[in-house]
Amino acid sequence: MKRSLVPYIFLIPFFLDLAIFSFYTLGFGIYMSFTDFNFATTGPITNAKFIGLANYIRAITDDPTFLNAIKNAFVYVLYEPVAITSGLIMAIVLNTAIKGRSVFRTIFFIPVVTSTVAISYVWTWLYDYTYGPLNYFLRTLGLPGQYWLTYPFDIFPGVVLPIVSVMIMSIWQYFGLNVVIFLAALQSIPNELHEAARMSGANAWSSFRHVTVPLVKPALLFCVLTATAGSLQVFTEVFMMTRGGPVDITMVPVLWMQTQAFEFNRFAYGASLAYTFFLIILAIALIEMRILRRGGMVYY
Amino acid sequence: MTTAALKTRTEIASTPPRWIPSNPQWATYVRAWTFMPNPTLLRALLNSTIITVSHTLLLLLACSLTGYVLAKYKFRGERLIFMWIVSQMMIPGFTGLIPMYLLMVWFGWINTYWALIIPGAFSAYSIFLMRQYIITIPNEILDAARLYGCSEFGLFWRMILPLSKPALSAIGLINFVWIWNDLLWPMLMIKNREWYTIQVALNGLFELRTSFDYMSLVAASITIATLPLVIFTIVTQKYLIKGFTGLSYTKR
Repeated sequence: MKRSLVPYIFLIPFFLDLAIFSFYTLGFGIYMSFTDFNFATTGPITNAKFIGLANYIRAITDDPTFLNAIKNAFVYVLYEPVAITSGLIMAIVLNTAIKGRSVFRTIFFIPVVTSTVAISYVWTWLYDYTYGPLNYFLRTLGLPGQYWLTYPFDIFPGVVLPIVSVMIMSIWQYFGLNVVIFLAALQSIPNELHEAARMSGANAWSSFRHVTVPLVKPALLFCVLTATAGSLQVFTEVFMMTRGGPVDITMVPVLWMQTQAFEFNRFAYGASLAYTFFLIILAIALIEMRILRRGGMVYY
Repeated sequence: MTTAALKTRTEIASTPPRWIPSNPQWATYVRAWTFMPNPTLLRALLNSTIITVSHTLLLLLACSLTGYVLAKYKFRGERLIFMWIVSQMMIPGFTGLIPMYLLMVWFGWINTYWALIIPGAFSAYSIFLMRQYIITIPNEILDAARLYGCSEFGLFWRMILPLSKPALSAIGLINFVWIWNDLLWPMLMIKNREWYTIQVALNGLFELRTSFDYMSLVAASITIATLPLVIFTIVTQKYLIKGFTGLSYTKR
């Protein structure tokens, strides 16, 4: 390797992008969150006053919708275990010698790449109180129909039905993603390992526990991490199904941020919401890393 | 369940739910093309295609170049940059949303395609994947090419890129799908109805989705809108799935 300027030259676009779109936006965003920049009241940013932590304090103490949104985000994350587990099970099923495995894989995968907007419309019709097939099905069983997307009361402490309805849709949509990832992982386990285990006296269950599970763990980690990251930032699903729910009960952080910034023009406040939520996520991620490290699952 | 969704989407008669319409009105599909006033379905699809293709190509170029540098060159700060990229993968996207929007305003890029194509061209995840892949390309090939007088950039353009086709396809496809389906960013950046992407245009039908008169048109519209990507997926699934699994199962 020559010691030359070449790497730096090739990295110029990257550095530019970094400087403008990463550092500058970060710095400016943080600075802005300490001002009261509100397009409607203060006009251009030069008029905005520096108000210190007032935005952040307000976000935590004076904004019940934001707190509700954070709660909803964490509730929403809970759809993962269901999606991941069912995906894993299906992948195991598909990994056995079944004809048409590719076909199944494709069918399951299609919702993953279908636009969430379209899927939301479909599920809105599914969930319709009067005309939706879901309630129709329930009624033929003699059960009452439900207000899937508008029932305003908690069904568990802290959990409202509409959010669960959205979660069910997400489980349906991203089920295929987990299937595909786990299937790839399962198929990359060479059969020799299983045979060796058999020869050492393992039965099917032991072979599964000691050969399959450890080799699937990286895939599991990958699924959990990407799903968590994605679900905390959920936007489209909620936006398209409930717009934040009747009276903001299904509000989620990104949607609330977007509402504050682009409907109410409170850009500075919106930015502070973003960073507050980010810090919360960071704290939780660090705790999670610590726990996982003790369990021996972290590789970096 | 997949079939349930498909059937509901092709519901043509707007009556209480039946799985198979008794009086299918195929004309709805024809009307769906022109029923959206502005943008029309076709125009929205066109917008989406232009943006998505451009962005993906730019992204592939940018990320492969950066990944190549990180993979094959030793220089001061290499470790630091790599660490930065890995940590960028952890930072959620919404933190930059508002400042980025303001930046777009100042650049005058709001309401243009630029705002959808240029930012995000250097995706940390993609750079990471490219680097991981390019590392597996043997250095001997590159040295040999140098001996034959290949320029440094030529090395990249003529050797690395062709050799990275699997990675490029996988990354390109996964990003293509992601950008195509994105709602938040285009919704914020484009105000002019003519320039709406397909997702934003579909969002415009939000109020109509429960109105009996228009429900079937909405259903037909979303079916038409979803079809390109479904076909795309079926055709490219092998590489697409590789991208989704993070290129991590190509070597074992």
